[in-house]
Amino acid sequence: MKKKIFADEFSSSHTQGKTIYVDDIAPVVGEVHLYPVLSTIAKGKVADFDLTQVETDPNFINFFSAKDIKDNAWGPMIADQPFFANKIQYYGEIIGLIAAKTPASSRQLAKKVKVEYQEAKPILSIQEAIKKKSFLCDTISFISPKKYKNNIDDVGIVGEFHIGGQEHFYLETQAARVTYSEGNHLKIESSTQHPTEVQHICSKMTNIPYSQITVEVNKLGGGFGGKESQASHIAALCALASVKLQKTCRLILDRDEDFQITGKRHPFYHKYKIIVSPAGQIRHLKVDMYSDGGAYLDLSLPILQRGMFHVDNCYYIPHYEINGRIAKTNKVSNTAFRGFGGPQGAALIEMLMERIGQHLELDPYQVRQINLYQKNKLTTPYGQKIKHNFLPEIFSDLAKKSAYQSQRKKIKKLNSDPTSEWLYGMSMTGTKFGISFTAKFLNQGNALINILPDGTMQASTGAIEMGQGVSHKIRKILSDYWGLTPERIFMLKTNTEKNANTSATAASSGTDINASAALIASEKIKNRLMDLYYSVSLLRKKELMDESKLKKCPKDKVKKIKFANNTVQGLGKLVISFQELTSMAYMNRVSLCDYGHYKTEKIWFDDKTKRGNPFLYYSTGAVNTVVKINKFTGEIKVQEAKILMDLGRPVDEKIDRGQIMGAYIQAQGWVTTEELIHRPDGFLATHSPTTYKIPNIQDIPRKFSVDFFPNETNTANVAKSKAVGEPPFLLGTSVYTAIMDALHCGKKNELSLPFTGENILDHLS
Amino acid sequence: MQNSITLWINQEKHQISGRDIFKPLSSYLREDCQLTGTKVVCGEGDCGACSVLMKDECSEQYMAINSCIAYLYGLHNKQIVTVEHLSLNPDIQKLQKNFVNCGASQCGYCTPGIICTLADLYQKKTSPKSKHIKNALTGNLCRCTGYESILEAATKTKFKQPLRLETVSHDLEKESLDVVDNQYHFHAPQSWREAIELKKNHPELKIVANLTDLGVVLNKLKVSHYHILSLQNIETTQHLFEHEGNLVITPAATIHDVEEYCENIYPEVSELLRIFASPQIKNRATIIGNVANGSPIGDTIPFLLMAKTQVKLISSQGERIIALEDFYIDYKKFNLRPDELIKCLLIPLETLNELSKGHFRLYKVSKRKDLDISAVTLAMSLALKNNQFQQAHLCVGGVGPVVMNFIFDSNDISEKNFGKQLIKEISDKTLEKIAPMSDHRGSAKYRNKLVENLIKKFFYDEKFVQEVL
Ligand SMILES: Cc1cc2nc3c(=O)[nH]c(=O)nc-3n(C[C@H](O)[C@H](O)[C@H](O)COP(=O)(O)OP(=O)(O)OC[C@H]3O[C@@H](n4cnc5c(N)ncnc54)[C@H](O)[C@@H]3O)c2cc1C
Ligand code: FES
Ligand code: FES
Repeated sequence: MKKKIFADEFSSSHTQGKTIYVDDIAPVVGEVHLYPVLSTIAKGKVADFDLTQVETDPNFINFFSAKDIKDNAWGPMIADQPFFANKIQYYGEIIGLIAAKTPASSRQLAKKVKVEYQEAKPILSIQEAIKKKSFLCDTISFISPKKYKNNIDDVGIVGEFHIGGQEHFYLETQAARVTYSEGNHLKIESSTQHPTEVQHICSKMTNIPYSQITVEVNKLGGGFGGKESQASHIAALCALASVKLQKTCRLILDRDEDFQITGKRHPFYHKYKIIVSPAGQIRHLKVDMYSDGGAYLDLSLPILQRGMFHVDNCYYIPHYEINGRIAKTNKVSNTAFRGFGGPQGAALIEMLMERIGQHLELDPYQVRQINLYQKNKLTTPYGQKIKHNFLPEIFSDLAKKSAYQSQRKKIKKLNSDPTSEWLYGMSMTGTKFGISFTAKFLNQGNALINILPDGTMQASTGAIEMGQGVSHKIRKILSDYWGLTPERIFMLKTNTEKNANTSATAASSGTDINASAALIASEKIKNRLMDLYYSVSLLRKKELMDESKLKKCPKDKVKKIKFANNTVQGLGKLVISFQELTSMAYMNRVSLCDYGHYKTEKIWFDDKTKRGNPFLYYSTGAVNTVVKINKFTGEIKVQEAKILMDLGRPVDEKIDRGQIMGAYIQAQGWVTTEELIHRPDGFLATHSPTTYKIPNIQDIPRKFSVDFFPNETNTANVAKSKAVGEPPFLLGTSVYTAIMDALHCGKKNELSLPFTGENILDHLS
Repeated sequence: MQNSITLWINQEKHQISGRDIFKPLSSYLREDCQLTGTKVVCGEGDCGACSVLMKDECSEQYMAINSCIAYLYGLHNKQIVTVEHLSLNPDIQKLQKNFVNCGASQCGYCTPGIICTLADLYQKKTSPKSKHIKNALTGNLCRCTGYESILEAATKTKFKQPLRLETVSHDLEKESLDVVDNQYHFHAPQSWREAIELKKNHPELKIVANLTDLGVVLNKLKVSHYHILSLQNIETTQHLFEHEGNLVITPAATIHDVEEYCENIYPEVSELLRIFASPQIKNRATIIGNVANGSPIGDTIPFLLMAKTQVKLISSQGERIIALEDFYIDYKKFNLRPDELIKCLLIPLETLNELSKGHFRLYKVSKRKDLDISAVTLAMSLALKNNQFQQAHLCVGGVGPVVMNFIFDSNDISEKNFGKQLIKEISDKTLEKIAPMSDHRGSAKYRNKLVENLIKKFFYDEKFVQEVL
C-alpha cells in the first residue's frame, strides 16, 4: 500500500492561516461587492433616497432597496422583520444595499447615499417600554401548584436587578457569498450556524424553491449564537443581488457595522421578592422578568423561556411565581448568545444567594448548600424531576479542592487590614444547564457516512464547526465506534446537499444530535460489513466473489465481532484489515454508504400547564472564584478560578476544557468590562474593540483550573457524554458574586451587572 | 526623486506606485497577494488578528505590527513576513504543533496573528515565561479559548537559540519619495530642508508619523487624506539620544524605544508605558505622534508635562522652542503654525533625575487594565521642605479639553503636615479646576472620584499615610 496523506487536524490549518473562511475565498473575475446602507435614526420612516453622489462613481453597479422585493419580511420564528426597512425600528437598520466593483468602494458608496427621514421618538430602555406598554409578547407564568404560607420568622428580600446585554464579538464578522448559476441555482457560502434556515430565508427573498438553493459552510471564525438567525439576513441580501445581477456577489460586514446592526445577548430586568427561612432556606420566589427583545421577535421567545427555566439554577424553590415578558424597544433585535437566556436567569438566583447570605450573616456557601437540589427536593419549577443529581457532591468536592473554609478565613483577615489597598472576595457558584432545544422539532439531526474501498471514511452531518470542536468530537466518536484511527475519517464540509432539513448547531447540542445520527448511519453499514466478515469466516476466498454465498451474521456471533486497530476480528483467528474488507464489500456490491436520522426521545413540554420534561439531561458544575479589588480605583483582578464540571464521560477532555475556560472568560467579560452604551439617539457608542472591552490575556485568573467530576450515569446521551458549549458560561457569574462578597453590597436593593470599575467605585464610596 | 515605494513581502520584492500605496497593508496582502492568513477583524489596531512581522531598515530583528493600520506608503524599505511564510520555519512549526496539541486554536481566526506576534517574542526570548507571553499577547484578542491554552502552548515551546528569521539583503533606496496619482499625493523627503519647504508651499499637507492614530481615523471615518507628508524618511542615526543635558526625542522615537530607554533608570515611566496600548502599537506609535495628536487622554502627555518637556518647532523661518504646556491651547488646538513641524522634544535630564529620586508617580485608569484608552491619567509629584509640604505638581488627563497642569504651593494650601487634611486640600483644589465630561469611558462623577482617589493613592504609595483613607 502506498503511503497515503491522511486528513489532518483542522486546527493545524488554523495555525498556518490556511483555513478558508468566507472572505478568504478567492474572488472570481467580475465578482460584485455589496455593502448595506444603514439608517441613522432609531425610529421613523425613510422618505427618500438621493443617489446623485453615488450613481456617477465608476465603481457603482447598482442600488437595491425595499422597492426591489415583493415579500419584504423574514424572521427565524415569525416573519416580522423587513429585509429592507421602510419603517425604521432601530439605529443602523438596513434600508438599502450598494453593489460595487471593489470592497472599499462598496463601503464608501454606502456612506454616500443620502437618506431623508421622518423621525419619531424611540424607546431605548426596558423601563421605558414597560411604561409605554411596548411588548413583543404576553406575560408567560410559571406558578407553583402549592401556595406559600406565611411564616412570621421568614425573611423577605425585595429588589431590582438590571442585567446588561453582550456583543458576541465572534472574530469573523457576518459574511456571505452567493453564486448564481444555470438552472436558476444559488450556491451560498455563508458564515452561519444554521444552513437550513439560510436556505429558507434566501428562498423567501428570491422566490427560488429550497431545492435550487445549496448552502455550504466550511468553518466559522466564531459564532456563539450570533450566527444562528443573524446570518440569514446577510445571506438573503447577497442572494437578492446575485439573482438580480446574475453574478457572484459577496457581502462581508465590517466590525463597526456588525456591532451596530446585529442582535446581541438580551439585557434583562428582574423585579423580585424572595422569602427565606432564618437559616436561609428558600421558601418562595416571585420574579417579574423582562427581557429586552429589541425591535423584532427573532428568537426572543425561547430565550425568555430558557431564562425562566434557569432561575432556579442549582437550587430548589418550593413556591414560586415566575412571570416573563419581552419588552419591545428601538434597538437591534436581540438574539441567541451562548446560554440563550439561561445566564440571565441563573445570575438572578446566584446574586440572591449572596444577598441572602449577607442579610442573614451566613456564609453564602452555606446558603447555597442547603438550597441545592438534593434528596427529595429534585423537582424544578417546570415540573421536571432531575435524574442522577450530583450537585451536592460537586459543591462539597470543590469546597475541599479549593480549601474554601481556610481561604474564607484568610480573606476575612486580609479584609480587616486598614493598611491594605486591596479588598478580597470569594464566591462559589454552580451551573445546571438543561440540554435540548426547547422547540421540540429542532431536536433532530441527520448524517451521511460513506466508506471507501481503500478503508477510509467520509462523514457529513449538519453540524457546523465554529471552534467548539464538534467535527473533531464526531470524528472521535466514529473512530471509537469503527476502531479506525481518526486520520482515516474525513469530515466533509457542511452542505445542505448532503444533509438537508438540519437544525442549527446551537443549544450545545451539536455533538449530541449529529454524532448520534452518524452512529445510526454507521450501524446500518456495520451490520452489512459484519455479514460479510461472517461470510468470509465461513467461506474460502474464491467463493466470496459469488454474491449468492453471502450469509447473514447470526446474533450470537455479532457480539463477538470487533472493529479495532483498523481491522475486523473476533471470529476464530480471522483478522481482516478494514481496507480489505471494504474493498471486498465493494467488489461484492455491498453498500458502503448510508444515512442516519436521529431524534431526541422523551422530551416534552405542555405549554398550557407550563410543565413537562423539556430537557434530556442537565450538564452541571461549580466554580470557586476569588477576586481582589483596588480600593482606590475600583479595578479588579480575578485571582483564582477553580472549576469542577460534570460532563458525564467527556468525549475529549482537551476540547471540553477549552470550552469551559473560554465560556468562563466570556462570561467574566459580560459581568465586568463589556458594556453596551447607547447615545440618546439610539446609536451604539461602544461598537468596536476600542470602546467595547472583551477580556484580554492579562485578565484571565492568575490561577485557573478545570477538573472533571467522574460520572458514568448519563446513558441518555451519545457515549455517556454531556454537552459543554453553554453550561460553563453560567459559572462566570461567580466573578460578579465574588465582587459582591468583597464589596458587601448585598443589602442594597438595586444592583446592576456588569461590575465595571465605575460601578464598583460607586459601591465603594 | 522616486515615485514608487519598495517593500519585501515574504522575501519577494514589491514595487508599488500610484494610488495603490494609499492602501492598508492588510488589504494589499489579502486582496492583491491572496495572502488571506492575515485576518482583519477590527481595522483599528485593537485585536491583533492582522498582525504580521516587519523589519525596519535599521534593526536586525522583525517586530509584530498591526497590518490593518499600516498604510503602504509608510512601509518604504521595510520587509514583511506573514503567517504563510512563517509557517515554513521549523521552529515555528514546533510552536504550531504545540498550539494544536494544547487546543490553543478553536475557531482559528485569532491564531495566525498570535503566531506572528509570538514569533516576535521568540526572537528575544528562547523560553518565555507566562509573564512575557502575556505582555507579548496583550494586543491579541481571542474570544474562544479563554487564553489559558494559548499560554500553555507558548510556555511549552522552548528553543535553544533565539528565533532567527531570514531577511533579504538589499540596498536602501535613499531618495526622497514623491508619489502622485490624480488627487493622491505622497511626499517623504530625505531632509528637513525639503520637508519645511514642502510644508511652506503646501500648508494643507497632512503630516503622518507611523499612523497608529491616523490609520484608525482613515479606516473608520472613511475620510481620505490625499496630500501627505511623512517625516519617516529623514535620516536619523538614533531615535532618541542624550544631548546637552536633554533627552532628545526625534520623530522616529517610538513608545517602545522610550519604554526600553526608561526600563532601568526610570521604572515609573516604563511601568506606565507597559499598559500603553499593545506591543504591536508600541512598535510603531511615536512619542511625537502622541504629543501632536494632542488628545486629552494621550498617555505620555502628563508625564512629559511634569518633566518640563520642551517642543522644538521648525519651519522655513527657522526653529523655535516652546514649553509643552504652551503647545496646547484648547481641545486639539496647538501653538503650531500651518507651516511648522515638530522637529523634536527635549526632556531635561535634570528634571527626570529629580523626579525619579523624589516623590513621583504616574497613574492610568481604564475600563480594562491593558490595551484600553484611559478614563483618567495622573502624574503627580511632591516637593518637601523640612519634612513638610512645600509644593504639589499634578498633570491630569481625561478631565478637560487638554491635559491639565497644576502646581500648588503654600499659597494655595494651608496645611503643612501629612495627613487627611493636606490630601483633602490638594484634592479640593484640583477638583475645583477640572471639568470632566461624561462619555462611554466614564461619567464626570466617576472621573472626579478617580482623581480624588488617585491623589489619596499617591500619598499612600509614597508612604505618607499608612491607612487607606
Ligand atoms: C489600538 C490602539 C491603542 C492605543 N492606545 C493608546 C494608549 O494606550 N495611550 C495613548 O496615549 N494613545 C494610544 N493610542 C493612540 C496612538 O497610538 C498614539 O497617539 C501614538 O503615539 C501616535 O503616534 P503615531 O506615530 O502613530 O502618529 P500618527 O498617527 O502618524 O500621527 C498622529 C498625529 O500627529 C501628527 N504629527 C505626527 N508627527 C508630527 C510632526 N512631526 N509634527 C507635527 N504633527 C505631527 C499627525 O499629523 C497626526 O495628527 C492607541 C492607538 C491604537 C490604534
Ligand atoms: S484588524 Fe484588529 S488590529 Fe488589525
Ligand atoms: S480561537 Fe476563536 S478567536 Fe481565538
